[in-house]
Parts: sequence; C-alpha cells; structure tokens
Amino acid sequence: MSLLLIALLAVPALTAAVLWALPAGTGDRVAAIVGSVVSGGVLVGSAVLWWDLVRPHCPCTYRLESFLGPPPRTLPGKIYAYAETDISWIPELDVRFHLGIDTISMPLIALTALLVFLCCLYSLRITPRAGRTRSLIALLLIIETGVIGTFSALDLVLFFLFFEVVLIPMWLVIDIWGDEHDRAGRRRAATTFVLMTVLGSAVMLLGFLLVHRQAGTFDLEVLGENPVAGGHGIALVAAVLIAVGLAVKMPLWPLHIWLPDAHAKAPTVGSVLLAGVLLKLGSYGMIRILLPVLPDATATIAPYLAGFSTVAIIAGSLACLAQTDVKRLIAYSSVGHMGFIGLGIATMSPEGLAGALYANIAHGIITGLLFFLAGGIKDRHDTSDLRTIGRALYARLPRLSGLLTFACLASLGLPGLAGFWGEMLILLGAYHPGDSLPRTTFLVLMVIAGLGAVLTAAYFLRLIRQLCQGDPADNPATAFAVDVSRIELITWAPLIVLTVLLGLWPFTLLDYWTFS
Amino acid sequence: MIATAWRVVGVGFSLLVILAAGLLYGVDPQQTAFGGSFVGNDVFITYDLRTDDLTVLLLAVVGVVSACVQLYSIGYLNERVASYTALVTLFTLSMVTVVVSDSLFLLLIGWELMGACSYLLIGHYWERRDARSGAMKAFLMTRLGDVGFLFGIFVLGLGYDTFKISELGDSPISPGALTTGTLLILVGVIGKSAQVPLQTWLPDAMPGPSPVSALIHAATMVAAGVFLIARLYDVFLAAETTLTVLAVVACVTMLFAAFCAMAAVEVKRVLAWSTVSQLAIMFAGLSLGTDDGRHAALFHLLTHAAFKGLLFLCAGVLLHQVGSAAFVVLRRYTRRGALRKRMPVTFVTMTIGLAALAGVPGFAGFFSKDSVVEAAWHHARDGSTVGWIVLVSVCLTAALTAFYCVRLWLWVFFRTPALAGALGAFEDDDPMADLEEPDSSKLHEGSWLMLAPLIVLALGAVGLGYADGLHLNWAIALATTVLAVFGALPAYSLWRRGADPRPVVLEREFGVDPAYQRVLVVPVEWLARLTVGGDRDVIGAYVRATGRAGVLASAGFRKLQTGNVQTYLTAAVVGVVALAILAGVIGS
Repeated sequence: MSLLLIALLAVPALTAAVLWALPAGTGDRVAAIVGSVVSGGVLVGSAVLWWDLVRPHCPCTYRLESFLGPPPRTLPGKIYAYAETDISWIPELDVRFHLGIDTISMPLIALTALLVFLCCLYSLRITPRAGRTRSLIALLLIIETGVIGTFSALDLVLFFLFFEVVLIPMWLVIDIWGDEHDRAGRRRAATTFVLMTVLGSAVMLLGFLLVHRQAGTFDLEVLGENPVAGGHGIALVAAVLIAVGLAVKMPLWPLHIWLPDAHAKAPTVGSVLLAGVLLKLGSYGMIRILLPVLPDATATIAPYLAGFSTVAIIAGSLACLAQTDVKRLIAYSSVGHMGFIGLGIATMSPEGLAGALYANIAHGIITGLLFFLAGGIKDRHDTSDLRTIGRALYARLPRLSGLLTFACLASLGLPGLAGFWGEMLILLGAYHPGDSLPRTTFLVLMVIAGLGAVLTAAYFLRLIRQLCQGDPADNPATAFAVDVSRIELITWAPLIVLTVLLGLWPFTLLDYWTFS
Repeated sequence: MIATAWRVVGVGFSLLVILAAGLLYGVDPQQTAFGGSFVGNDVFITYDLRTDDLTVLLLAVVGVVSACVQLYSIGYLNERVASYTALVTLFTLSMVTVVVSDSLFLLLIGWELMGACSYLLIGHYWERRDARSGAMKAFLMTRLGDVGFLFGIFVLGLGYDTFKISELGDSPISPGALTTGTLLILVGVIGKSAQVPLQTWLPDAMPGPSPVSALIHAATMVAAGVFLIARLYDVFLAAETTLTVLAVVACVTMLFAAFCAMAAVEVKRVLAWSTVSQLAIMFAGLSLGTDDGRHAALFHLLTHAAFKGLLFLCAGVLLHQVGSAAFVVLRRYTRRGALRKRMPVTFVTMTIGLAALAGVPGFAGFFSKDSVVEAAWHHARDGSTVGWIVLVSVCLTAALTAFYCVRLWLWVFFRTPALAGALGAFEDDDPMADLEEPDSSKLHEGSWLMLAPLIVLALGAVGLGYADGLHLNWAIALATTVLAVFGALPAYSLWRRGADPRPVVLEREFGVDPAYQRVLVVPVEWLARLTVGGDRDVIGAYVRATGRAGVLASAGFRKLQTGNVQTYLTAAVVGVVALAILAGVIGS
C-alpha cells in the first residue's frame, strides 16, 4: 500500500470535483491558481516517488535479484513493481485494484505531472477564448488522474478503466475549447477522436478477455511471471486485438486519421497533453502488456507492427511536407515520431526498447514545446494557417521564432538534443533485432526509417523557411504582436532545459532501462 | 551589450582552444572517460575524450582560424550580432568536440551540431532567397550523409564490440562488416566534405556571411571529413575496397570541382569549388593507404586552412566594400587599378592566398601539394594502380587550379588590355568614361580588426610550408611547377584578349543539381501530395463511410419504432414462436 501513489491519483480527481462544486461565481483565475498549486504538488509528489524508487533500498525488494548472480534474461517491460497497492476489488470478475510503478512507468508519470503542471500554469494568463477556465482546469486534472492511473495500473481491467477515463474529458476539451473559428470542424474532430479511440479500446478489452481466458488472471505481475506461451491461436488473436487497440491510440498508420484533426482543432493545452501524454498511453501499453504477457505472439506480429510503423514514419513525414497549417504539421510529425517508437518496440531488442522509452519521453517534451509555440503563434495571428500568418517571423517575433527553430531542430533528432537518442537507439535496435525476428526485414526497415529521418529534417526546415524566414518587407510587422511573454517563458523554460539536458546527458534515464 | 558579451565569449573561447592546443602539445596520447550507460548487453554508450598529435594539430587549426574569424566578424557584421557570434562559437565548440572525442557517439553529436550551426549561419541573411535555399540544401545533403554515418557506426561499433575510437580495430571483425561499415562512414564523410555525388551544397552555401564561409571551408565542417578518416585510419587501412572507392571519389571530385571553378563567375563560388577540389586532394592522399599519404593529407589540411581562410576573408573585404563579389561587378572597379590601390593590404594578402592555392613555389600550398604528389609517386612506383590514378589526377588538378587562380586574380584586380582600346568608355582619358564608371572614391581598406586576421593568415599561407621541415623532391617540384605554368598561361592569354570562355556544361556544373531536383525533389513533393490526398480520400473516406453507415443504420432502425402497440405485440409473438421452434429443432 503506497499512500503517495494513491494520493497522486486521488488528489487531482478530488480537486476537480471541488472545482466543479465551487459556486459558479468563482473567478477563473482562482481555478487556475488552484490547478497550478495542485498539479505542482502532484509534480513534487511524483519527484519524491521517483527518488524513493531509485534510492538504494536495504531490504532489497527488486534489486535483490540483480545482486544475486547474473540477472535472469528478463522479458522487457516486465514489471518489478514498487509502491504497490493490491486489494481485491471485484472478486466475481477477478479484478483487483492493483497499482504499482517501476522504472519504466515512473518517468512517464513524472512527464505527465510536469506537462499538466505547465498547462495549468499557462492557463493562469493565457486561456482559450471560450472562457470557462474552471471547467477546463478540472478536466485537465481528471486527465492527469486517468493518465497516471494508466501508467501505474497493474491489472488489465484497471488499465482499461483508467484508459477510458481520459477520453471523455479530452473530448470535451476539444469540443468546447477548440478552434473558435470552426465549430463544425472541432466537433467533428472531437467525435472522430472519441469514436476511434473507444473502438480501439473495445477491441483491446476483447484481447484482455482472451488473455484472461488463457491465463486465468488479469494481474500483470502474475502474467509477467507466467506469460501466455505460444505464437498461434488464441494468444495470437489476443495479441492482434490488443495491438490494434493500442495502435489506434498511439497512433500507427493507417489508424492515425483522428490525430491531425484532433490536434489541430484542440486548444493549446489540449494539444500539448494530447501529444505529450495521451499518445504515450498506446506505446506504454505495448511495452507493458504486449511484450511481457504475450511474448511469442508478439514475436509473430512484430514484423507487421514494424512494417506499419515504418510506413507511418514515411507517410507522416510526407504528409508534413504538404501541410499548410502549422498545428496540423506538428500533429502529423507526431505520427512519424510515434512510428519510430512503434518500430523500436517491434524490434523486441533491448536497444530498441530503451530507444522507444527514451523517444517517448523526448517526444513528450519536444512536441509539448512545439505545440506551446504553435499555440503562441496561433494566438498572435488568430490563425494557424501558414499562408495567412505570412513569412519572416524572425523579423516580427525573433524570440518566439528562435525557440521554434530550436524545437524543430530538437524534433528532427539533432544529436545533442533530446530527440536524438531515442531515434538512434531504435535504429540500432532495428540493426540487430530480437533473436526470433527476421533480421533482413528489419535491416530494410532500418534503412527506410533512416531516410524517414532525412524527410523529417526536410519538413521541419520547410516549416522554418516558410514561417520564420522570408523578406520582412513583404510581411510587415503587426502592431499588436508581442514577443515571448513572461508566463510563456516560465512555462516553456522547463521543456527547453530538459530538451538540452536529456540530449547531452542521456545516461541517467538509460540506466533505468538496461534490459538484458 | 549582449552582442559585446558574446563577442568576448567567442574570442575568448577561440583563444582558449589555442591555449589548450599549446598545453597539449607534446603530451603523451591519453584517454579519459566520463558518463556511460549500458543499453542491453552489447552497447555501452560513453563520452570519452582523447588527446594525441592529430587532436593537437586540429585544435591549433580550429583555434587560430576561429579566432581570426571572430575578430574579423567584429568589423564585418553589424546586425544580428548576438545570434551570429553565439552560433559561430557553438560551431567552433562542435568542431572541438569532434576533434577531442574518443567516442563515436560524442563525435556524432559534434558532427551533426556543426551541420545545424552551418544551416543557421548560411541562412544568416534569411531575407535572401538563395540563402534560404542554400542553407536548407546544406543541411539536408549533409544529413543524408549522416544517416549513412550513423549506420556505419552501428556496423563498426557492434562489429568491434566497442564504440570507443581508440579501441576500434583491436578485436577481429568479419571482412564484410568492415567493408560495409567503412563504406557507410565514407558516405557521411562525402556528405560533410561535399565530395561527388553530394557536392552541390557547398557552392550553394555561399550566400552566408564570408567569415562563416572561411570557418566552414578552412577549419570546421568540411575539414571534419578529412579529420575523421585520419582518425579512423587504422580501420580504413584494413578495408582495401573502401580505400579504392575513396580514391575514385576523390579523383573524380578534384577534377569535377576544378572544372566547375574554371567557369564560375563569382569570387566566392570559385573559392568554394576550389575547396571541394582541394579536399579531394587530401582524400586522395588518405586513400593511398600509406603513412606518407596520411601525413601529406594532414599537411595539406593545415596549409589549406591558412590560405583558404585567408582567401574567404579577403573575398569578404571585397564584398563588404564593393557590395558584390561577382566578376562583372568587381571588374568595373579596376580602372587605373582602383581596387588594388585603394585596398593594398587586401590585394597583397589575396595575392599571397591565390599563390598558395595555385602552388607557386615557395608558398605553403606548393609544399603540401607536392607532398601529396610525392606520396602518390612512391605508392605508384610500388606498382599500385590507385597510386597512378591519384598521381595523374592531382597533377592535372594542379594545372587546372593554376588556371582558375590566375583567372580570378587577373579579372578581379586588373583591367584587361583588350577592352582598353575597344570601347571609348574604357579609355583612360575618355571623359565619357566617368559616366560609366562606378564611384570608387568610397572604396577603402577595412578596419584593422579585419586586416589583422588577413595578415596573420597570410603569414601562415607563406610560412606553414616550412613547418614540416624543408624537404623537396626537385623532380616533382619541377614537374608541378611546369604544370602550374601550363595552367596559368592560357588564363593569362585569355585575359589579355579579354575573353572569358565558359563552356555551357561547366557553367551549369554538369547539370547535377537540376538532375537531383528532377530525380529526388520533385517525386518527393509529388508523393507528399499523394499521401495527404490518400489520408483524406482513402483512409478518411473509410472513417466517414463508417460514420455515415452508422447514421443510416440508426435511421433505418428508427423506422421500426413506430409506437404502434399492435406491431410490437405481433413482433414479440412471432419472435417467441420462432425461438420455440428453433429450440425444438436444436434440442431434438
């Protein structure tokens, strides 16, 4: 029983309830302050939990194994749970309230806490035009509970429940606070998002039920010890169902169609959370559930998964090259990046896995920053259409466009910034994939993915060229546009610092993920 | 204020690099490691540093050239100084990282950061279209090579089971992996050093500020390719196929680039092509696979850094004063030697630089080029085909180099005598001439901040030739001098006649760029549109169709809800009867 972890889940949800219970006259500002304080508290709490997780424990719980001789050849993604809570919940259905964390989920929890905190902080000054900040903050906090819950759930049904908790708040965020110029568009985007994701999670639930039928339990710890063997029959069906369900969320080509609309129409904070955190639920699920629970079946589908991921890399990059909307472009770039992560998972190799986990974190930070910047540009010009915004942003908003250039360079995987290590390790994983996988296939995919990295560079440079550079004489400065404001600087600074730190010093995180 | 701070930081950092080179000089080679993490059982990522002779040599080159560039930039640049100076400093830092790193990953970080810095610096004048496209092209082409480089790191690192440069080659490796790995590394080198077939980005990078060009061409970026092969020389020596490929690439490139330089009509573009050509000479030296060859290549790298840096800074002065470095513009200022007389220091130092480039006896380039030729000759005498190919190409290139150097020098600084009598406007004493004549009274020499680096580098362009100890193979020296004269004479005679013939194929630089445009860029754009269309019209259509089917189905089902009790009752009875019959059938 770990009170801290429970608190991390309960406090945001309770705060949301309190916020809604407050009289309607309560100022939006108060709500934003409450949200910032609470999510800041959650961030501190997750930092404490992280420290608690990695400090040397004397009655060594999970580290014991690594001290006693060579560690067993573990299945990557298998949980060595810490801060566990395990109580029986619905015994009739064999569902337990089982929570726990390990070094795979902890950084993701911290990332979630950080991004939600920054979004609340951002909302102190900058809010969507629709107003109703109180509800927006409450929904953000609900999302935080759902996401942290998903990252710490050790029971398949619990995982599914938390997974679903996130959807409705996100639907509302897009539908209510989305693009104010396009009412029909944002409703359509929100609906497509929610329907496709619900369909995906329904498919995933079917897969979970099949797993239960085979293994007799929903508990991830037990399943990690006794994985479902066999790469055919029911195990394969279960793996395919779970993979498809998670692939919708991730999203992998061709199930990505909800993503560009949802990201483009969502308000800034919505886009940041959607890209920074929600997409990670899919990739995390693959690492946590597919690999350790259904190893053989996953090996069967891994080449296909890798193939779709590689197509996603190329298709996402190509689609970016033809975009005319800055938010849509960044959304499509997520498709490419998540394709890299999918490829890393599909290699089933330690390098690929570590790369996928690293890319998860890096993508969350960098794309979060990109969406913040795009939101800033959109707020200043009242549109995110490149042609309407005009060019030569370097002349009009030098700091903002300088930061945009920085974020673009980080996102295209420049060595020395966070995006590089994930991509590099994923390609390295594809260079020598897991033992049971066809090496030649993965070599070909590696080369294609490498070319995809060049395409990634191409569309980001095109964005910089079309947006930041250009003749200032043709695009005179607008009078009202102010360069980076103080609140923006405060919210973006942590992301910028982390991008550089993770790029220069990857070892702290990589040390957590030394799968053998 | 911020700009001043950055300038201090920039100059200070360059001086620090020089100081480090001085302190490390003569110190025994050593390595230190910091950081480090296992990923899986096979991959150990660390940051390692090392120092040895190669490091010290490159540190000295980088430090001196970047100090010159930073000082020069103070006089050259007046706007966007802070970002410019910061980027130049970062550029220098990246090159230093490459030079001191003993870890392939750390090296890659510096290697690609240089690409990013060069992208940002080439695009410094982002109002200009050519700067924008040149910057983008530079980054994309080098990144394409870098992907190969990354794969090469995988192959070599996993093959040798280490990513430490000093331990590469210690353990056995399969010949296939060795050849593949070195060839992939070579792809990265070709991209970075602008060799054929990835050569077109370097001449197009010329819209960047001249000091940046000097930095890119003399000490960082393109020199990194030569450095890398010298660093991994033991590995490359074992891979004979790769060395042969390198030799072929180098020989093709040096001639190709020299021909392009002969037809270029802008000072900086001539210099850019000459860099490509001179780098190829260094690669040719390396491709010989002998210690002499490596030594000669590094010697040429050293002298080239001095005279090419000098030439670009001189071109910068011309650009700064005249406003353009195109031949047609510059030669309008040649009446009564205005350009020469108004800018004597620039004229003299540029002459020294061109003399060194052309290989005039006594100047630095002469000695270093001869050492490459000598190494090739020794190798060829031992019966090596590669040696012969290199020997012939370098000699031919020497003649072509002399041609374009003399052409540049004469057309920029001297009025051709052919035109003097042809048109009235060109006559010295024709009163109409002044109408045609641009106002040269405002021409003056740059500030001492810009001239001091010129003088330092000019001293280097003369003196560095003797740095290696004076040893001269008289036969080879005579041969290369004769070749240089053979190249120079046609240039002189053409200039005397006022003719500057430029074959179309050379002027279009063999049509490589348009071909890339057609073969790569256009299809990619086409595919991009196809992808977006596919998302909208194919995948999106399925989603929309599903939605519409749902709506239609619900509309259909709604028809059933008539609200008529009799209908419901009838349906219920029919259903019960049907179920009963079905149960009976299945049960029996």
